[in-house]
Amino acid sequence: MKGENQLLKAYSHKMRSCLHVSGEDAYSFLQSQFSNDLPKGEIPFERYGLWLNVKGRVLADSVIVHSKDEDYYIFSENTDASLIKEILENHIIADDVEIESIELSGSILVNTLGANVLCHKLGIPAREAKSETSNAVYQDLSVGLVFPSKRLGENGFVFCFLDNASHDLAKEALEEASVHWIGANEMHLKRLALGTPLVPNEIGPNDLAGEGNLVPSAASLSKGCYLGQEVVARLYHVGKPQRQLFVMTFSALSESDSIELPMSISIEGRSLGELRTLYQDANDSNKWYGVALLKVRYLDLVQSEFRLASHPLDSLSTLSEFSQNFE
Amino acid sequence: MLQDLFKQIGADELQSQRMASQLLKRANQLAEEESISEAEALENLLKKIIEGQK
Repeated sequence: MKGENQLLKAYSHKMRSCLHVSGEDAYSFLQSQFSNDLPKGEIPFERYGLWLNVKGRVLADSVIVHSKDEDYYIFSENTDASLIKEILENHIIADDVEIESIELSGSILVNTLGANVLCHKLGIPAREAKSETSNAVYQDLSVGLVFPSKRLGENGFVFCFLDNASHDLAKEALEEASVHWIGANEMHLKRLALGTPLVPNEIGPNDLAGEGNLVPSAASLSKGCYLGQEVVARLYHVGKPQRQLFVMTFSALSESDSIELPMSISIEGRSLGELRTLYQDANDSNKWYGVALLKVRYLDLVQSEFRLASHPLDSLSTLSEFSQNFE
Repeated sequence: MLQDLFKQIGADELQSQRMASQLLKRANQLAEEESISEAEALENLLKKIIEGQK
């Protein structure tokens, strides 16, 4: 847009979960439940991973952030705090762990240029946002929490605000610097370009991490035991997922085509999968990307026969193939 | 008695002591949250431990 500084990018969003986990057993408890490996020791970190059930199904995703002492924070953009809290509390038995929900006023994901603007305005030491080693975590209970994120496709940081005043101040500072605000659709395209599925909409409680390009990036094969780990390891080492997440490209869809999601995909009475989400291309309004979980053995049939609002498929690729070719 | 249970499943002296006291604390929390008796909450937690050992 005219007047915007295209180098300064920000995405404003609501974090549906922010949980504070503390107690002497906080680390070992989270390590036993979370699908990704959490570094041990005093080093601050942020890790993306999943909460699986005993059958290895994906209940939710989160970023766990550790700043200092026995304090851990769980953030999730797409799952309510009450659900994650419930999942965790079901497994607290003889562990010294306290979980409390924190209400955030909002969150802003910015690239490093945006982070410098915010640090300056909010009085956060600039070194906190300059690190490219992605282990800089800043915690100040009067402002909120800042942690690294590469979801914009470049180095960046998520600023989570505890109060409206800091949140408003941050938005004002970015506006003054002519920020380019990234919309939700553009953010989803960036996510697809990184090969990351949307949990739980694209990969959810009836699906396996391995079906959604999440192993080993979000579900570790080396950390040892965690809830659902046996299923993850078995499928990865000795099996092949029967279903996988694919990106369908349509080059002639129109906004007026009414499509209800999720949409079951069946041909000749056979269920082949489900179209779960749909995103519009940033430059071509007729081009759309659909994310579908498909039965791998019927791919040829999907490719040749499937029509979305009478439009045929332009191309079909796995989420990881798509991310390698998407520009 | 609780301490002995944790020892039987492999915890050392110090660990088992901590786990027993934490188990009682958790039973107390659950009793309040779910409006059940502390004994019932403790029984539920013990069942989970035994199931976990199977």
